[in-house]
Amino acid sequence: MTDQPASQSERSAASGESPARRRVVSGRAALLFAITLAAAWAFLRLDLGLVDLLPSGPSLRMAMDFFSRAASPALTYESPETPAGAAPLLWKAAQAAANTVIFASAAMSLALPLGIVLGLLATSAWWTEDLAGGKSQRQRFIGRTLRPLVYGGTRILIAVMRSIHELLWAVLFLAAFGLTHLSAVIALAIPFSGILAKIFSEMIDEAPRDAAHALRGAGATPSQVFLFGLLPRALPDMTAYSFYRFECALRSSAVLGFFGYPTLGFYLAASFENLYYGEVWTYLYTLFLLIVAVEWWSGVLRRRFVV
Amino acid sequence: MQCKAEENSGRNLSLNQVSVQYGSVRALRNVDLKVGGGERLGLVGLSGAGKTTLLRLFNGMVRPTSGHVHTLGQKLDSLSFEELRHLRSKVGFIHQDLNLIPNLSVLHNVLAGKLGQISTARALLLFTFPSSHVLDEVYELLQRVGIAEKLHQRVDRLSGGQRQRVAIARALFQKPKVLLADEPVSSVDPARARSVLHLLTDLAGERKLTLCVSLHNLRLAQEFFPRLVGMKEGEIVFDQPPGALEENQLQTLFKI
Repeated sequence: MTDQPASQSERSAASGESPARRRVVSGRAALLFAITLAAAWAFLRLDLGLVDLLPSGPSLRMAMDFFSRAASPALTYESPETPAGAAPLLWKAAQAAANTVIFASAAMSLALPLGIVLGLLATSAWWTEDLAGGKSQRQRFIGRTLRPLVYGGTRILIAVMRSIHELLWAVLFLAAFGLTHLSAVIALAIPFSGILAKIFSEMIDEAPRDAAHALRGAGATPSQVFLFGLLPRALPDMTAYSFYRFECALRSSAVLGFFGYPTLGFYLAASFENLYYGEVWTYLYTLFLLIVAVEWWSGVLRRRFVV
Repeated sequence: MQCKAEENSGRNLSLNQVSVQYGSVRALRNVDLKVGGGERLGLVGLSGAGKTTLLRLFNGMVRPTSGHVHTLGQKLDSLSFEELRHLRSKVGFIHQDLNLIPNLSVLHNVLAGKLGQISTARALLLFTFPSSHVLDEVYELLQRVGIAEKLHQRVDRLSGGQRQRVAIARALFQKPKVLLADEPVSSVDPARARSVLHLLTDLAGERKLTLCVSLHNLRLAQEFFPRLVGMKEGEIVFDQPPGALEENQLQTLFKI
């Protein structure tokens, strides 16, 4: 009978067939229905049908050629006329893998510190009561002017950095600076810092504040409270996430080869164009091994320091 | 000079007509209390009586809505933020939930007690390369509280009782003049509760600390504290030595 909105507490408190509970159930059903409707509409608009998965004619032959080589990647060049003195295929794949790692590492070593700094500025936890909530002139300035300016500005900056994909940044930088190593590294580093900053700031804001409260009570400064009370609690999650982003950087670094950088993508595209599918698989498996290696490395580190 | 003045104004704590309001809830109502230097005081009452609020007033983590708080002879509402920080570094507080950093070692948790007294740069140095002198100091403290062998263990690998001793060691590493403990024995069994209270009262004696401990176990409070303050619904209902307590006072305290 009551006409109150179903708040969170009411929802959990409501039991049996109370009007509030009935309203929640019908609300959920409506949401589910809306999602299904949206999915059906998208499929119809794009004219998606399973028939497209059954290629015919030349494309079928190409697909079969390609996938039939999955179990037998090339160990030597497939080209009949390999120039004399060329490095063996596997050695070239290893070099391409090394280049992929080098580009990704350079980008991450820029993105990590930048992501940490921007992430800290974008947390609400950094602007503690002590720093921005007091009555002194300095605190009032921080609370009323500096905090909205820096916090808001950082959030906008982060959003701009990550709203453009690394490959689009690469297109822009290649046009501006040409095919230099720096353009590739910066193209990767910009969106990666933005994403790291966003996720780091959320992880820090969600970290439990109990230890921070205790340190504040023992006279620690705001930056000490942040560094020693809050950051250590978010650090395990931040480490795991950084490894995941390193993995993403490896994939993007490989794709940068399509623009002409000597990473896996460069050789992969060349082999693909020449229809040397065995070589394509060799490079794909190399990339797979790289990802597995990072996974293993992060697992070892996490077992040692985090869990 | 200042040191001498601090010595004289002692290790006193006092509340003068203090009220604390959280929104519409009145946590404390016109409370007057004086605690002399080196005194050991047990604060008893049901949960929700205002014990935690009262303790937190003394390190400025709770601000009074009206009235004045004096800690170590200083009037809290007249202090600048820097002065308040300095004062807080002299007040050890053992939280009910301990509030340790679970994924750091015992050593680092104890070192964190020193933060209020050093710069951030020195703190970073202290945490990454603690000198052997500092290590000895922490080791001795841990020995005193009975967990010396856990120096390099991570806190989340310790038992509840061991964690509590880490929290005590962290407070002591501040070299405090006052030790405040909020329900230190609420989550331990009676035998262990006695050993924790022994430890706290002995430490207060050795180091001449003013000690305030909140408890809801009246029997333990009577056993360990020469002065008991009973609280109910934000007010002090009695303040006397345990021997002088009368039956009807206890009944009013624990009647809901």
